Amino acid sequence: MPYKHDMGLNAAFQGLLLENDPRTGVFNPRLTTARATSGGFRQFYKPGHICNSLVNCRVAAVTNKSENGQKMGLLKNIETKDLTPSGDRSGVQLVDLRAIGFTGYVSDAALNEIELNEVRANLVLTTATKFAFR
Amino acid sequence: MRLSLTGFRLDEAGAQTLKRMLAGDRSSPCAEALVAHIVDTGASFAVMEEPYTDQDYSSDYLAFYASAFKDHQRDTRRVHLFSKDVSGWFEKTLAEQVKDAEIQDHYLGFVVVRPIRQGAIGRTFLRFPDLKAPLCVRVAARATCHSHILGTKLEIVGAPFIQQDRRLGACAQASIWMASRPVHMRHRRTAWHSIAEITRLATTPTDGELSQELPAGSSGLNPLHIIRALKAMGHQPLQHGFRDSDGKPTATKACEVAMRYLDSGLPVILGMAGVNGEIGHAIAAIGYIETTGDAIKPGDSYDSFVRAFVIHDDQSGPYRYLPLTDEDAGHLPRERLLFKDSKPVTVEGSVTHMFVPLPPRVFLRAERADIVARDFLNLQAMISNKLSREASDPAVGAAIEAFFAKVKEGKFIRRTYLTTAGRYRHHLAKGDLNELIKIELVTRQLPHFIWVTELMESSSEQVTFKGARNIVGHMVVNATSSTEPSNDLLAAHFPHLLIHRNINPPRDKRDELDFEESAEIYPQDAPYGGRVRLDL
Repeated sequence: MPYKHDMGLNAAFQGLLLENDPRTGVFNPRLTTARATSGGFRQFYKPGHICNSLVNCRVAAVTNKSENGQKMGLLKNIETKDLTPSGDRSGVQLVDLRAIGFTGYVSDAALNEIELNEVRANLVLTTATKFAFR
Repeated sequence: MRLSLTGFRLDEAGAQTLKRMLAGDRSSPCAEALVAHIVDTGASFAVMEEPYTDQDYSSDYLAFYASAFKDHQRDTRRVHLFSKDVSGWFEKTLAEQVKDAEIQDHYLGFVVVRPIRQGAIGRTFLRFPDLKAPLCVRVAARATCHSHILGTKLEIVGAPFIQQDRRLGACAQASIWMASRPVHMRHRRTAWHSIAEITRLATTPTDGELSQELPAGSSGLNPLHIIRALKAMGHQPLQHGFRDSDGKPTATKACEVAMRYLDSGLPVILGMAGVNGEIGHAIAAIGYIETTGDAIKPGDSYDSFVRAFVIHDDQSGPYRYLPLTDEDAGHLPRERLLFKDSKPVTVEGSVTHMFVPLPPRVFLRAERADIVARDFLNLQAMISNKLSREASDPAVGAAIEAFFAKVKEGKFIRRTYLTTAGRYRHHLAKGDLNELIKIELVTRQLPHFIWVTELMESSSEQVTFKGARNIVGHMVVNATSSTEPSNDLLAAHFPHLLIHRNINPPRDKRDELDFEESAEIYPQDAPYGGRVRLDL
């Protein structure tokens, strides 16, 4: 379960904290991560440390796994324990929903209802200035 | 200047004195309701602190009174309220007072008394009211407020209340203040705003309607001004109307829609637009009253259990009850209802607008989350025969079949509320859901904000007074989504069945798949407790 809620990193993605790739001029989170995790920052900010800057938040994230599920290189050389909770799943059965006819898409009736709901809200906005709350 | 503290008993004479302090010799429904609530919560002793520098009044003073030709007092008084005579505590040394926690046990909150005749009730923090079975009060918008008496810090949890100051604003500004202040105090995601500041934000840029009164905006705000103020304050305002352009009620009921936001712990500003040119009014809903037993009215949404909203009305006082329907009014204490032409004011009959100060990252309305969850449930019910046959244990298959049979008969009530992934996991972790299913759910990646739809039968009573109702399943919808409805649902738990949807399938499959699902049948499962918010 990767950690996606870090506001520093999210702000960076929104262009508030940019570290641009000098070759392309575009923000490159991988480049920033590499700098953050390889430099002297790790001496001050241990894994798990939470703070607001982009650089440090990425240090907090190195205890996690990377996108493809492989342990990050930094954890390869030290003793680790898998702390993810688990249980006896021997009785759990997998079901292929597609094989039994479930497509997963929202029905047309529900889509119409969603659209109607939003149109109704807009209708009221057009009459919004006819009175005041006092 | 020295600070003075004066104690007095809140017997009949004391309550009258407090009322005069708040309203002078004039009749004031707000002051009367406030004092009645104070007495109702068990207050028997008051300590008046003066002078008191109140940040909210100071801001209003700066915005208006400081430049007036007439001299206006700059300081306020603050009246602290206690459930017993605490004068003995003041006889202790200051060091002993700080160590003695007993005073906190008797603390019921405070009222700031402004030195202005047209609206003396300033920032007020009091406890929520309490009711006995078969009704109970559920708290939505609330905050923890710290106050100091001499060197001792006291704490009170409640919903902040304020009366409108007609020179600076109207009920709309007071409602925005009462809705936004607990959000500021609890979550710190928005800045502190006084009434004067709210008026400034709502009236910038100004327009013809605002300019009809001086100062601009002091005679009221229309919905666009309210939205403008909420946005400028850092909220994501959501407006919903419950009247069509011809003034008739829409098919979507106000109580059903507003309830989902209140049940999310969010304040809701309710607008009651005047019909035929009458003056409109705005109030802040900060909680609700539900029955402790089974559903009291037909329907498939949680308002089937609800009798009333708990509201702050700057004209009628704090902690009033707004019944959902005329029928509900008969089950509520009459002294806390609002009346118009000697008829109780109800949500169904009067509420025309709703404004919710949502967090900026929530992009999905509750109604859409509820529709998506209901649709997913119904689509699953369509394949329930095949699903139940997949179970190797016939008893499990029968349980799945029985659940979906009830779905088809419309037997379930959906309770949809907004929460964060962290709070959702916390609730699951401490609850009594099957451990294996719990583990599977808490280890899934989720967005920061989610809509949760719990499923319960109409006969699902509170297990204990003010406790949870048992639910049979729930669904999780992405609240930070605003694109394709098919990508909204993230997880669903039904009896013995857990479905997880990955809306970010592997890159090599994205040309063929918008999302991928995994479904699992679990041998053990049982009903479990739904979400309960803070019990005061």
